[in-house]
Amino acid sequence: MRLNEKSVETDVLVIGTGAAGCFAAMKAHDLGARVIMVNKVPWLGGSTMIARAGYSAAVGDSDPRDNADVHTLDTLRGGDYMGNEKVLKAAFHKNVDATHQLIEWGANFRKKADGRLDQGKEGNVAGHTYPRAVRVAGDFSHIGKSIMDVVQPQIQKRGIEVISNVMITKLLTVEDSIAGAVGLNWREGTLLRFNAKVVVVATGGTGHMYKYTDNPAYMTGDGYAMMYRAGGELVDMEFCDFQLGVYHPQEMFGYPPNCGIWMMSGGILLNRNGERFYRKYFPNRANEGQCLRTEINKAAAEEILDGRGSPNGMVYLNCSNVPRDWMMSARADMVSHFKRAGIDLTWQPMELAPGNHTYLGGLKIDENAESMTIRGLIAAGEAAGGWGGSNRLGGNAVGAALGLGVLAGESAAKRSGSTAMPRIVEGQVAAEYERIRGILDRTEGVRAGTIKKSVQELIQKSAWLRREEHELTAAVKELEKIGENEVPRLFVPKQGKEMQRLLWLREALEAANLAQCGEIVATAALTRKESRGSHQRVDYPNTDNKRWLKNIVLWQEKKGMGVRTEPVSITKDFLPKE
Amino acid sequence: MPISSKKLNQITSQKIVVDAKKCIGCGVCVKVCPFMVYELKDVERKKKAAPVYEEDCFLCQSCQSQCPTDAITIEW
Repeated sequence: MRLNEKSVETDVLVIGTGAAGCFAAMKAHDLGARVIMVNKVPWLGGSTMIARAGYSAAVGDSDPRDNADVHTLDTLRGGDYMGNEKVLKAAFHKNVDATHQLIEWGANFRKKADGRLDQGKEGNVAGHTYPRAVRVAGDFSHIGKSIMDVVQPQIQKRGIEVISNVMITKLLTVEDSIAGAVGLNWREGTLLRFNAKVVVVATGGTGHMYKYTDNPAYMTGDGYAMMYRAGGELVDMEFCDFQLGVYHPQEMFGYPPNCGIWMMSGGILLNRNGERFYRKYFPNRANEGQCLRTEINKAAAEEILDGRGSPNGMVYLNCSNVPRDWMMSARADMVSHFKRAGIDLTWQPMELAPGNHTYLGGLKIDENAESMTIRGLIAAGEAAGGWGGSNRLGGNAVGAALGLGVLAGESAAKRSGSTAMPRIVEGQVAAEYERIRGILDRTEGVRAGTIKKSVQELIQKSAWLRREEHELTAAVKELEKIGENEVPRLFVPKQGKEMQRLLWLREALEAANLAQCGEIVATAALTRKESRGSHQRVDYPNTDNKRWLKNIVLWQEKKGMGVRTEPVSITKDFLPKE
Repeated sequence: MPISSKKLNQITSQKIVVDAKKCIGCGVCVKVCPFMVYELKDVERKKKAAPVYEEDCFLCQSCQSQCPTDAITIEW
């Protein structure tokens, strides 16, 4: 099979088409830049599509005291002071603008009689001082869809070109500036080289590094891996957000039940002995719904790992106390999904385990969403770091994605206006083409599935909710070995039709990224010798504010990985008092 | 009768088309779809994917992204 080559030139290249990517593209376009969007799958949406209950925006419609600064402070507190204050502040201010924009475009958000947003009641979403949830009218399940529903026509209206089915595999750099990117169209079988002044990476997280995840099937950490390889610095990679998801029965594997809403409405979590186990860990919380997400995850994981979970290795969520009429109206869709799998939620429990939901680390960015080491490299959404800290408050993923998207678009337009088109270093393109062709040409070696499986097993074992020195050390060693010995031997079998082989080729490239991300995450988790938020170390069970009010930064060196710590980027009055 | 989510709200309705000529009945869509949209059905003694619960689709495109023959099209 021959892979044809194609060149594309643009001012701003946006990689990824979720909420962050779309808003970045629209903003940059509106400010006069030539924009091209690249999408790994056929349609816009990415992970945003499966955002369910709602997102947070401090528009202050339910409580006038609310604003983006309070939202920032809440997020910093919730994330145990690991977030980046400047980034958060900038993002949440833009998030408010984006929310007004969405309403103007006709998004189907829940409103009160006076036409302002109905943002829920006080204490509705754990960790938020004021009610600031944006939800869909008459629905608890489709916030992502309702956002993309109005965004997609806007992209079309602006005539922004979207190139679908292209997986970007490498970022091109000239000295310390971005020059473009190389990608593979895995449906047509073409290699593309993009020459661009600015690249916005909005590729989302790396959920499929874990065995348990509710991310769409193509979320494989491509952005982190290529930014790392291009010389970007990654921050907070030890932190990710887990959420209870359904991993049994098999046909529901990866189903996101949005259990926060259930627990707030009376659902209770039980272990195999029928105990409400959260009380053992967090006796001060009134019920499961009042626990922060990290607390619930920690408790559930402890129960499961200590053998008090269900026979399938999960915990139970009993919903029989949930008011029947609410269940049958607001959550009717979920009731019917479970019924299809043979579970009647009115008396049968869900079986849940914490799975990877959102990645909180990413490219280390400044308040313009731009990388500090590579000029013109901008990250938005999950690909960016510093917006979540060690724990994500409910609703902040889409909230920050919108805000960071707008921010990224603005600085992309600004940067592209003041930069000349960079010249691509041909050697970089040739090397990447050779790597991709090599996978196709090799006749034997390692299949993508093998690598993916070993990464998932290693990460699930060492970097889930109970992390330990010796397991992490072993995982780092093992992942280094995979990166050195197995990734260069990736191949796709000769048998199989062309289309199938191209899909295998994409999966091989994804597997290489997963292995890279695994190594990064395990190294970061090994470095942080304390427990904080989602990062729970058995050997260092306490939060150590004296020594570890620091972010961990990782970058690629000529040989191996560079690691350093930096004091958190929070002004003094926000820091915890001791 | 399960209540469909489409009836409850007016959010994007989508149409999923499986090209029976391209579908090889491998079942990967059934496996990766977290919302149980697909079932394998016998069509002329061959297994083919059918989007039985189309209205529950979240447009996450997990199915499309993993389909080895590009048989699935989602119209928005």
